[in-house]
Amino acid sequence: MTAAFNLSNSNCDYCRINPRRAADLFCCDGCALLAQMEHKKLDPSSDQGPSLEDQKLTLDFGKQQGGLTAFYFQVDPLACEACLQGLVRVREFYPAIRDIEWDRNLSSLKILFYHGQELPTQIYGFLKSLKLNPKWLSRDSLHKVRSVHRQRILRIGLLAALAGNIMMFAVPTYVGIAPEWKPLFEHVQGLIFLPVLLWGALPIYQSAISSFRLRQLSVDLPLALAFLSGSLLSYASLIQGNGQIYFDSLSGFLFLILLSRFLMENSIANSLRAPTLETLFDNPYFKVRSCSNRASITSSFEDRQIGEIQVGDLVQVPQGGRIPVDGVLISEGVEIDTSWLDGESLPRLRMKGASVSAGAKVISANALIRVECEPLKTDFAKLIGEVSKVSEKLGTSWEAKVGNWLVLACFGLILFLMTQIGSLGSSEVFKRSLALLIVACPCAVSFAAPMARARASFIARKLGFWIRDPKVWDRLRDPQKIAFDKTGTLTEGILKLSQDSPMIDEHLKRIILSLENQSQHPIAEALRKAWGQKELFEVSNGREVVGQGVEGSINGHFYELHRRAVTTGGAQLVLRRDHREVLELDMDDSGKPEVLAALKELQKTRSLYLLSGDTTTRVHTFARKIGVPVSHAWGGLTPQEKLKVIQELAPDVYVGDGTNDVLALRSATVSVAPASAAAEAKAAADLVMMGSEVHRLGVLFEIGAESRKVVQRNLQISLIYNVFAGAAAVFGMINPLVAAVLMPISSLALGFSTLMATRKLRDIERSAQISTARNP
Amino acid sequence: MNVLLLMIPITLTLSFFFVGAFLWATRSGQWDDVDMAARKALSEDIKTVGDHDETKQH
Repeated sequence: MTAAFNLSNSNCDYCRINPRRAADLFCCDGCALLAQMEHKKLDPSSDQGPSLEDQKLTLDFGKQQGGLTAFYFQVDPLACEACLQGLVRVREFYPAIRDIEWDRNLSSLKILFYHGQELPTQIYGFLKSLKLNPKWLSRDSLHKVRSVHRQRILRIGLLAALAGNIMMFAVPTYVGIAPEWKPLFEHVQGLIFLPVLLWGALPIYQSAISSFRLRQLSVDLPLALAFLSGSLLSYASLIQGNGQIYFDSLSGFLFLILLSRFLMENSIANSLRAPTLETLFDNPYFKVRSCSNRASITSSFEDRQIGEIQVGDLVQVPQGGRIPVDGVLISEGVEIDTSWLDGESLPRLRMKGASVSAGAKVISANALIRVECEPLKTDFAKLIGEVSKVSEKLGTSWEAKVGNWLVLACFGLILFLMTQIGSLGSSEVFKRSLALLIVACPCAVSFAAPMARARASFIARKLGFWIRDPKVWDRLRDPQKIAFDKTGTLTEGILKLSQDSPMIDEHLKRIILSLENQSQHPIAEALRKAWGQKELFEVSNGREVVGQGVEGSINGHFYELHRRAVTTGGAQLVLRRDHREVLELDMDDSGKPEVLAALKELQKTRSLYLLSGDTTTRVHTFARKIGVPVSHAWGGLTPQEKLKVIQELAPDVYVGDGTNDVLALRSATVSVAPASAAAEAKAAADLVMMGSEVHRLGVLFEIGAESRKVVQRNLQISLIYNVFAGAAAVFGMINPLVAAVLMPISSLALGFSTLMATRKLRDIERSAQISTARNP
Repeated sequence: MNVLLLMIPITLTLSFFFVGAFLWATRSGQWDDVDMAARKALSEDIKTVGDHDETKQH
């Protein structure tokens, strides 16, 4: 019990910073691998020099920089600081690497090899073993994204410099500079303010124009109007010399607005953006034999990129690779993993002439496929394309709606003031309207709300949740209906030795592992994982019988390890020696124990639902196991059917991981994907769990509730301030100068409110860590 | 107060100098990787192929 309260004992064995994953010594796969490298002196590099494939990759993806070649990879966000240190240590294993750079904001890696010694395939494999899900980036694809990001840094930095300098010249005019110097100081302010007006505020103008074109009210519309009116009035006053200049307030205000948006953008997992079809495959080249038209018929297989494959071509997909096209199988018989489509844990056997779909994985042997549908036109490609489309979920932000009402009220009052031109005079109406625009701009929407969301996102990240859409906090309202995909999300999607399996003696384990040694089948992988490395026997005439199992002779005996039957949720294996049965093994995909416990806990207070492409029988069996009513569980669903169920059921949260979940993830109010999810599923989700954080979903909901409280409180402050200050402006009790002073004061009050609430959020974070430490 | 005639141009020149330095830093990618340099300094000296070649040349 004493150890249960000792945080350090429950932290990761390698980095000692983050809490351990449930039933594990480490916090992430990166730490597990690095610990292995340290203790066992594991060296991932091989002594082999660059291969032919390395040379081709260098030509197509390498960028020459002096005597070095740079390769760029998009990687998943790093789970912990130790993973970053692990990246630094990559150079220990690959002396051909001159340097390595990691861009935190874009989550991209730049790896510089000495010219002539490029090993891109090896480094790709290493990054994959760190579970960073690397994606090849061409020379120029990163440049575009990076230049946009640099432009934003440039804008924020220059605005800070310009606002600071304007302030430096403004302060002496407030504290009593000699009158003869005042005009000079004001003119210098006007001069420095010019780039702020013409360049710094461009994002606000652009957003206002686009909202005007789309006929949608946006907070940037009054912001742009207030900023432009204030600027023009200030320049007019500067020329007339009447002292009503607001350059300092305007530039400071603009800086704060853009800074808060910049911080909010940086708090989200930018790197988990929608993948393209080209980046979804481990190897950017496919072995293709052209048969599509007479002019390009080739007698041998050539390396081609995905966009160059045509209908009628023959494509060779290696064992373990993903199929890029819809087509017909030419090979004799191949086992194919279709879990992306139907959630089935076991591979399916496809015979010659069978149709195969893009996105499926080839398991048992190399597959030769005749292309029936080009890679870019398959259902799989269309699904991937869906992910990159802008989500409509953003429109549901409730505080944006309140902001819009404020904007409408503001314009209504200005119209009212215009009707009073006869009695008040045009100059007075302009002054009051300007004061109203400046004083009543909805700060809670433009400044305090993004800040509150950014803080919530940072804290959620520490708990293992990466935020893809910062506005997810507005939609995460005390979720009552939570729907889960089964395979991969709640179960591991891979077979494991059943807990009911009999004790097996070491000799038989060695025989089984020797037979399975060359097999890539999930069953072989599961057995290797369960029993670890063992000394193997020499197998003669060993072979894999597609759809059945493996067989071969060991020490003069003929052994067969065959799959006897596919049961609900697993498979039964039988080992025969000289055709006599000696052992029976059960394999199943029954679910992670920590996840099952977390689900039972969630089930007490919320309604859970199961959606799966897997068979209805298996889904119902699993539902009963975790105490979910069978009426809440659906099996055999296609991606479109899942979408339909989500639309009808309207759950508050949907958790899914496969390509078949993409449509449902995009449609759900709040969608969550685990770290092991397909790249396209992660890109379609609002939140990504860095590990199996299902047991922390409750804490995530608390953060959501807390951040909503902050935004609500900020809105209340903002509304009270807007009503009183707006009324004062309309009745001419404050002039634009006072409005310009009041506005930053209200912004500071809102910032302070956000900061106070952040302490509460930190408490949640601390209590969550303690609770994880107590229940590792 | 005449000193202000000197101070204002100096201030503005200094500002332009720092803004110029910031522009150069951003455009040359100085903010792209703000994490690795500190860690590289902490990690032990790692011999690369290039270091080996340089040693041979000496």
